[in-house]
Amino acid sequence: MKRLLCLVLMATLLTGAFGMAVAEEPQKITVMGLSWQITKIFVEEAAKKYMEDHPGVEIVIETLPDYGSLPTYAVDWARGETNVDVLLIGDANNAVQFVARDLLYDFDKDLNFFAADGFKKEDFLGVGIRDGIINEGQYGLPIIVEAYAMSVNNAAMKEVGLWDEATDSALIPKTWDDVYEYAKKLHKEENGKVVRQGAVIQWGTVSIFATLIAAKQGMDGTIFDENGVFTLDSENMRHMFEVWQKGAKEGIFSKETYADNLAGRNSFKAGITAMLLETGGAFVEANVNLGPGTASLSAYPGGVENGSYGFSTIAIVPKASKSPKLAVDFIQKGLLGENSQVGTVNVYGKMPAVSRYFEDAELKDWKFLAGIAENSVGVPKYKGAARFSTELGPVIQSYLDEAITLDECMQQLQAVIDNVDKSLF
Amino acid sequence: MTTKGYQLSRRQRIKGRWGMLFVTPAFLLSTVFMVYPLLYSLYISFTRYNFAFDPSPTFIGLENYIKAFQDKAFLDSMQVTAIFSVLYFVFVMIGGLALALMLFYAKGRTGLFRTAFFLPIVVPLSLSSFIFNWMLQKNYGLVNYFLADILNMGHLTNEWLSTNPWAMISIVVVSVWGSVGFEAILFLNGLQALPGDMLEAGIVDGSRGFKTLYHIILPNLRETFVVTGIWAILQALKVFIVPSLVTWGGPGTATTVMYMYIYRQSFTYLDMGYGAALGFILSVIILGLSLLNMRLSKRS
Repeated sequence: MKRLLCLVLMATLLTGAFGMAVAEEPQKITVMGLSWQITKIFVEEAAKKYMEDHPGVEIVIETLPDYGSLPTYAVDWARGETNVDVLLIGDANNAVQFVARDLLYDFDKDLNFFAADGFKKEDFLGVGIRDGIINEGQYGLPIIVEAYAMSVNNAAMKEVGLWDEATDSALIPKTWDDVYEYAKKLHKEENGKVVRQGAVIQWGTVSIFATLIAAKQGMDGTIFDENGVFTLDSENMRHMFEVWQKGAKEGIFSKETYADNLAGRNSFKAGITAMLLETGGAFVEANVNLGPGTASLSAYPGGVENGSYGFSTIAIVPKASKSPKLAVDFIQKGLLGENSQVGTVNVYGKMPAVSRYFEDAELKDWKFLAGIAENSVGVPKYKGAARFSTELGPVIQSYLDEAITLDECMQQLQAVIDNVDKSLF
Repeated sequence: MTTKGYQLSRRQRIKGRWGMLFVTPAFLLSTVFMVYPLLYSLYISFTRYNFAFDPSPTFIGLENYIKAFQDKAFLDSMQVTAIFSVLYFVFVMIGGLALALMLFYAKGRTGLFRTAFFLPIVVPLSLSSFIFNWMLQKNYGLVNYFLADILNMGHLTNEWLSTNPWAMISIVVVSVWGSVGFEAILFLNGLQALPGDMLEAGIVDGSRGFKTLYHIILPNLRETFVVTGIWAILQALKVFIVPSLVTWGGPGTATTVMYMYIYRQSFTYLDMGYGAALGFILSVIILGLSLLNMRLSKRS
C-alpha cells in the first residue's frame, strides 16, 4: 500500500512538474527592428550578453524591411500567431493600428513593468514615456529618444560674433527674426555660388511636419487649440512663415531639403551649412566628420523653455508572443541596459530613453538636448496622422515659393488638419 | 473529337492532352498571380477598406470613383503626369529615333556607342535617381560645382530640384536618359528590317538626307512606331521612381505624378479601396492612349 501511495505521490509530483514546465513560457524570443535600430541600439551585443548571463535562453535578431510591412503583422497577431516578440518601431503612431485591434500588451497594466524593482516611469525622459502612451495605455516603451534643435558650426558662429564666451556656447535665438538675422550674418556667396549656407531648416516633405511641431511648441508652448485639437494657426506661426519665406527668397534659408531629407545634414557635416534646424543629434555627425568640437547645439526659438518636437524608438510586445516575460526582461536588462543606452549616445548620437544615463554621456550638449526633449511633444496620435507628413509639406513649399499667399497657406493647412481623421480608432 | 468534321487521330488527341498538361502550370500561375489579384483589386476599388483599421472591406459602389474626380490633389497629379508625359514622349521618341539613325548610318564599329546608349537601361533606375539627386543638389551637387568651380559660371548655378520649372525639367531629363537607349534599340531593329533595295531605289531616284527620312524611312517604320509609341506612353504614365527619388514630388506638388499619389493612398494611408480605384482609372487612361496610338500609326 505504501509503495502504491509513493508511486501515486511521485507520479503526481512528476505530472505537476511537467505541467509547470508546460505552463512556463518558451525561453526563446525574436527581436525585430530596422537595420539602423539594430546597429545603433547595439541589439546584437545586448542579446549576446543576455544569453551569456542567462544560459538556456535564445534571442534571435531579425531585420524589419520597412514600416510598410507592419499591417501584415496585425493580420498575424489577430490570429494569435507571431514570429516576433519584441518589435522596435521608430514612430509610435505606427503602433496605433495594433492598439486599435487590442493586439499589444500594456507595459503598465498587463506586464507590471514599472511595479518591479527595475525602472519607474519617472526614470524615463518625459517625451519618450509620453510617446509610448496610446489611448491612455503604455503600449510602447521608449528605447532611444530624439528631439529637434539647432546644430551649429562653432567656428562660423564665433566668426560672426554669435558665440557667448561666458557660457562657451552658441547664442540661442529668442525669435524667428533672430534666426533670420543669424543666418544672414553667416551666409556667404562667392561668384554666385554659396560657400557657406546660412541655415537649412528641415522642409523636406517627410519631415516638415516635425519642424512645424517643433516651431509651434517652442513659440506657443502647445500644439493644440483651446479645444485640444491640433492646430498650426497662431500669430507666432504666421509671422514665422513670413520670415521663412523672406529667408528662402533671399537664399539664406536653403530649400535643398525639398528633394532630399538628408541634404541639410550632409551639407552641415561637410562644413558648408552654418545652422541646421532639425533633429539635434545631427551635430555629432559633424564632429565625427570634421573633428571633435566642430559643432554644438543651440535651440529653436522657445525650445529651451517649452521643448520642441520629440520622438522615440519604442519597443512593443504583441499579445501573440508566447514569451512576454522573457521579452520584458530582455528589454529591461538588454535594450535599456547601460551598454546599449550609453553606447548609442556616445557612438551614434541617439539619446538614451533613461535619464540617468546622461551622466555617462561624453558631451555636455546631450544634457542640453535632454532638457529640450523633456518638454517636447510628438505627433498627435490620430488615426489619419500619416496624412500630416505628406500633405502639409506641399502647402508650406507652395507658400515659400510664393505660389500662394499667407492666408491661402493657413487655409490650406487648416483644410488638411480638418480632413484628417482625428479619431484614435 | 472532331473539328469541322475532321477526325483527330489517337496520337493527336494524346498530344493535345500533353499540350494541355504543359500549359496548365502557366495557366494556374497567371490565374493565381495575375487574374485573381486583378479581379480582387477591382472588387476592392468598390469598397471602403483601410488595411490597418478595417477588419474587412465594406462595399460602397462607385463612391471611390466619384471621389477621385472630385479630388483636387488627384486631378492636379493627372495634370502633372500629362505635362511630364508630353515632354517625355516627345524627347524619348525623337531622341531614340535620332540615336538609331546615327547607329544605322554610322560606318565602322558602333559597339561602343550601342553599349553607351544601352548602359542606362542596365543601371537600376532607383540607383541612378539617387545619384542624379545628389548631382543636382544646390550646395554639394556636382552640377553646380562644375558650373561654378570648373567653368567659373557661378551665376548659372541653381536649386535644380526645388524650383519651377527646373524640377520638372530635371525629372524629364533623368527619365529620358534612363530609357532613350532602349527606344533607340527598338528603332534600330525597325531600321535594320527595312529592305535594302528599297533604300537603294530611293537613292537611285535622287532621294537624299531628310527626303529619304521623310518619304521612305518614316512611312516604313509604322509598325516600329506602334511598339515604341506604346512603350513610351506606358513609361510616361507609369512614371514613379524618378519623381519619387529625384524631386520627391516637389516643390509643392509640381512633380507629384499619378502613380505617386496612388502609392501614397494605398501604402502610406493604407486606403486600399480608394488606391485601387485610382489605379483602375490610370489603367483605363493607359489603355485608351495605347489604342489611340495604334490607330493613328495604322492610319498614317
